[in-house]
Amino acid sequence: MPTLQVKDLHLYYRTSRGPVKAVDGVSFDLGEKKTLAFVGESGCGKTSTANAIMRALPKNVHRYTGEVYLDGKNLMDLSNEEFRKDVRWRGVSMVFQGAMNSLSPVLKVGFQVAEPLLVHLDAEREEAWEQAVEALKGVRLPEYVANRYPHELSGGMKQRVVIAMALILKPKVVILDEPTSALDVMTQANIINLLKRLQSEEGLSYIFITHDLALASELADYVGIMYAGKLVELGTSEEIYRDAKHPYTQLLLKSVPLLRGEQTPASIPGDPPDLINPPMGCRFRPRCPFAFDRCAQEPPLAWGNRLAACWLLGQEAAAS
Amino acid sequence: MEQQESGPIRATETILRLEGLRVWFPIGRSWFRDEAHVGAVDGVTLDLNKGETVALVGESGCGKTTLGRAILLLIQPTAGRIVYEGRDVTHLREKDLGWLRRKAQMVQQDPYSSLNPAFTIFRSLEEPLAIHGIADSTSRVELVHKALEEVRLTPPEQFARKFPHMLSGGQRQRVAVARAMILNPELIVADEPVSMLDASVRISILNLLRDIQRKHGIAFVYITHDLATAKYFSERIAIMYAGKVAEVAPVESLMKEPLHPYTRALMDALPDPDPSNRFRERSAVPGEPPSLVEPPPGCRFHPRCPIAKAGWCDVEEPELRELRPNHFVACHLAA
Repeated sequence: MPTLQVKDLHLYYRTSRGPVKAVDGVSFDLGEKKTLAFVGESGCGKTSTANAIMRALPKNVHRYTGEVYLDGKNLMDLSNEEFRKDVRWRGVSMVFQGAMNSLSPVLKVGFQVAEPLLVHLDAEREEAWEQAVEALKGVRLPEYVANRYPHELSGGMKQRVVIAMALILKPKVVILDEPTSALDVMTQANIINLLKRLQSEEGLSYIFITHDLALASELADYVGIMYAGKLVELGTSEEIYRDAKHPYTQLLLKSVPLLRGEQTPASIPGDPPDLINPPMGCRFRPRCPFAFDRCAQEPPLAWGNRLAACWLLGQEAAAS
Repeated sequence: MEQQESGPIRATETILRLEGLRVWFPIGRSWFRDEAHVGAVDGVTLDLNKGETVALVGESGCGKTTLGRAILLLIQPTAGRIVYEGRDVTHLREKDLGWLRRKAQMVQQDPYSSLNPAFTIFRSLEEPLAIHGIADSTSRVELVHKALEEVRLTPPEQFARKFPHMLSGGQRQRVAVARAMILNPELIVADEPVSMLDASVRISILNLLRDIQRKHGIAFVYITHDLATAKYFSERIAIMYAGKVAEVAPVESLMKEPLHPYTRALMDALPDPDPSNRFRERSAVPGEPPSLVEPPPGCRFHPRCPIAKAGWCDVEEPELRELRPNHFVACHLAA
């Protein structure tokens, strides 16, 4: 049984121009100690997918449907209060994008890391503090950091603090939303190494959200490529990086400038579509170099064991 | 090689020379400390040739942005010289800088804050022409439309009427590029021009900058933290660390044989897309860049350097040495 199973997840936002289809029927499984990376351009719905799983929703929700199973239990059946008490931070936690800049400037870091313990477990203050110190050690920060304020720490240290907070209630699934995008390359490498070690030490499953295909390959066992609110391709890392099926994935891979090896990076012409009135059929059709008549219909979802939403594969499958 | 370079202006003609450039920001005296300064740029010597692209690469706080601003005299250097086409401009007063303000332009990082939200695109582009008193208002319209066409925002009449909020990030950055080149500059400093954009858009903006730069023979300083794009969009790369140039070399030479341990560390830390990455840890030097108020003695990288030699690297500051043709490195141990 997968640790986390998401089926047909939808999240639409209400706006004055009509509903924005930010997440439009996303389904995937995430196994124990595995990492699934969601990759796509900004506005493709990767962060909205994470927010939908965490039920961290804004007020203007138009549609919020689907099934989210954590260890076989459907989280969508829980009330907001049950979800807050039993799931958020305890079952699934999240390192939000830019969270290291949202630490309170007037509280010692130790208290901030301890806060989930006080709120969720009614822990004693002293005990919570001790656990916070342990958690900070877990992310390889020296003990004295607990007594410091955020402005006394470097970016890399603050990011470690935020990771310690996400792990303190021992969740099974951690969602990492661009956890290194504001950091320098060396600090980024150190944080990624830390995340790898924590995954095996604590038996965590990760959902890793990034726009960077190179970075995704640092953690991902599986990669899901998102485009305009849909998952257009899903496969193992090997399948996605070595044998991408969807034209969008192929073009995305070609746009990456490589440090080693030669590949003249090419841009993808055009812009992602408006999510209020997305194009009929395949949403990538207006930018796709291989589009043909049939793409104006809704594209197929799965061929064989791979998920790739493209009619080109439908042709292949029909021919073989 | 000489034959290929027989064009009207070519590589060897220096447009900009920096000599021992220092930019120190004073930080006031307090109870705890005598007057001190942050040595953001601390002795940089660098030549830039006509029509050449040099990338300044380094981590945040290494001084690359300050250096870029000092090149344009947007910040007054503390010491050293800036020589522009043979003319020492270091101490020119603002009122004597009009010509340089026209010849040297900047593209900023954030296209969301570099354009005035209350101006139409036309007004944003016309402004530099008006300030420098170029052309009358009818020919300005023509110049603006030409610039928009050049950055492929077509039809120009339509884009000229728009406001920045109606454009995507990539389109705004195209406007910023159009504004930088509308005065026919000889030098453009672009400070992280694509770091806020999506991967697929990044390449198109960088391609655009390169096309324009080649077409008009503009010298181009590309400031970035991203070694991978620097590799594709520049001819030479200068690696900066803690206010100094650690290594400067032609791209092929640097990629083939990085000589400074910091350059090697930077390369090792940067992944390429590869599914086997997840099975190994990336080698990353520990620690953080040093304080620029009290930088370490000797080589500034020595506290983090995997090969530093005690008694040498922590005592004597390394000079830039030319170890390969045109390939300079500031490391005692490089050979």
